[in-house]
Amino acid sequence: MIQTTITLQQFMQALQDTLVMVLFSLVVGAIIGILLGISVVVTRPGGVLENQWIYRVLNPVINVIRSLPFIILLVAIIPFTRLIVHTTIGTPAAIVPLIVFIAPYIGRLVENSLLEVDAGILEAANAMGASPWQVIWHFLLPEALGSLILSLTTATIGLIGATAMAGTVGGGGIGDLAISYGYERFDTFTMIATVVILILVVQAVQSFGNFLAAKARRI
Amino acid sequence: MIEFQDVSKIYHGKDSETVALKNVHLTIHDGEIYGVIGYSGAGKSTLIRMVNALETPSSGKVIVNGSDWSTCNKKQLRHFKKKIGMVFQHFNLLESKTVFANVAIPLILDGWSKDAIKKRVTELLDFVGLTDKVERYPNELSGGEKQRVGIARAIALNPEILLCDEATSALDPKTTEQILALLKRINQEYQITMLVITHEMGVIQKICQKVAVMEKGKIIEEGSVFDVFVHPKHPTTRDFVRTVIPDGLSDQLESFKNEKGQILKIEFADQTVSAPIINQLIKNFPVTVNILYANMSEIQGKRVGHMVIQLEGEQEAVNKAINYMKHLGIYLEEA
Repeated sequence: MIQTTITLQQFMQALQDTLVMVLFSLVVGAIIGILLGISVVVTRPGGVLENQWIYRVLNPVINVIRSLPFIILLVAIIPFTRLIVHTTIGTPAAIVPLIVFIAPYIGRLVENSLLEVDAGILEAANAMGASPWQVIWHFLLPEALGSLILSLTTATIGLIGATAMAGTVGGGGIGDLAISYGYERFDTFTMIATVVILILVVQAVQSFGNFLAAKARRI
Repeated sequence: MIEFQDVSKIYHGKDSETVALKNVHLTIHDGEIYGVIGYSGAGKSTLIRMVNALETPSSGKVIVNGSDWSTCNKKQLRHFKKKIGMVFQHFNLLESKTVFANVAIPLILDGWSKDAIKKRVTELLDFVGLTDKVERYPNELSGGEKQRVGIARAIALNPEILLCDEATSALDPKTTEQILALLKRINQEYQITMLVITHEMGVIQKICQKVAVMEKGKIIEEGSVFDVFVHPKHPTTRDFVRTVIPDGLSDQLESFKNEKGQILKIEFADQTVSAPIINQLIKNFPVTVNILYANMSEIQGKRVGHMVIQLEGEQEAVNKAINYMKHLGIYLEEA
């Protein structure tokens, strides 16, 4: 007989909280992150929209946010979180720091993906008289698509990991369940169940990302 | 017409300066296929990239079809670039797009309608012989096919000038022949002016009318392909010419030198090429003619002969024989 202190309903609620936190912060974080990544790539010296001021501001900002472990970022920006969602507890209060955490991370990953695009292709674009926006839209993004998908996959898995700390602000989720029931109440079953479900989710996300990337790269 | 007027290019490194081009003067007339040859680092890549504004001169002017692009604003510059096609050594195709989409790219950038794009791309793929590969991706194509896509893309907007940057250097000899034939056909059918950069003299020999030889950022020799091939002046030019037209036994010649008789390198061109010179030498002078080496090549549809002979006999007779050949207009050199 399985002995546990949580109900199935609690488990499903936690799963749902994690899903909401990951999806919401992924979508918003990806939009901001992709824009950040593109901005850093095109404004860097030699880029199609070279602008050393934008580059010199964005680059350190990304580095500063990326320096902070999520658990510290989460509590450090509580005033900002309050400003945005008018609360500092619950799932919405976790989503704000998750976005702040993941957007610069995605920005760096996108930057790396875009920098991998063969310089020859960009030279061809330049020789064709492509405008900076055309270079981004018709050359950079399609050529980097496979790599961008893998970057977003990595970011998603990073987000799933970060949501485990959301419990600190009462954000709920699978990770919170593992800490407050599995660890603090010595509920071995809950601990095992959460570990298994996290492994399965991460595996599924990675496989799906690999599948899409392979399709985009036409391998 | 493309004119380089006293063009120099200096790259500034952290604590060094590299002179890529030094006081280059060059004029390429409309409809010509002009070849520029040189070893790696001679400055030819920098030179070709100045025509379509991928590189800016440090000093001097590049005038393309009468206008100096350095005075253009960004929008005018993009418009200007669309009138110049460029073919690359490594093709630079979009790996994520089909052959059709790759050829369509310049038309999309230029804002063509879907129907017009389809019509033009079909026409271009037919011209370069890739009709059956429309929906293929670059990684499914051979090197030659990729370059055909590159060429179709480069001529999509009917450019006035086509720049070929080592267009055949990544291809095998047979494919090179086919791509050169295609380039020649484009020049003849569309009267497109072409600037061809290469390190292979065979490319110059097969398609160019004029050639410039570059070394260390300078043009060391230029002229019609026939003149430069037949009478190369600079040692580097001679090295290049020898790669396609061996002028005879450079290495083994030394071993003959100890023997009796005078060794002569002879070159026949123009009217002397079909004259029975050797026969006349033997008939008219008391000399023995020993042919050590002989070769006949074709350049720009004209024949050029190279021969190394050994003349034996009385010194006076040998001198007379030499004077006789000089009188006929044969170029000769004592080895």
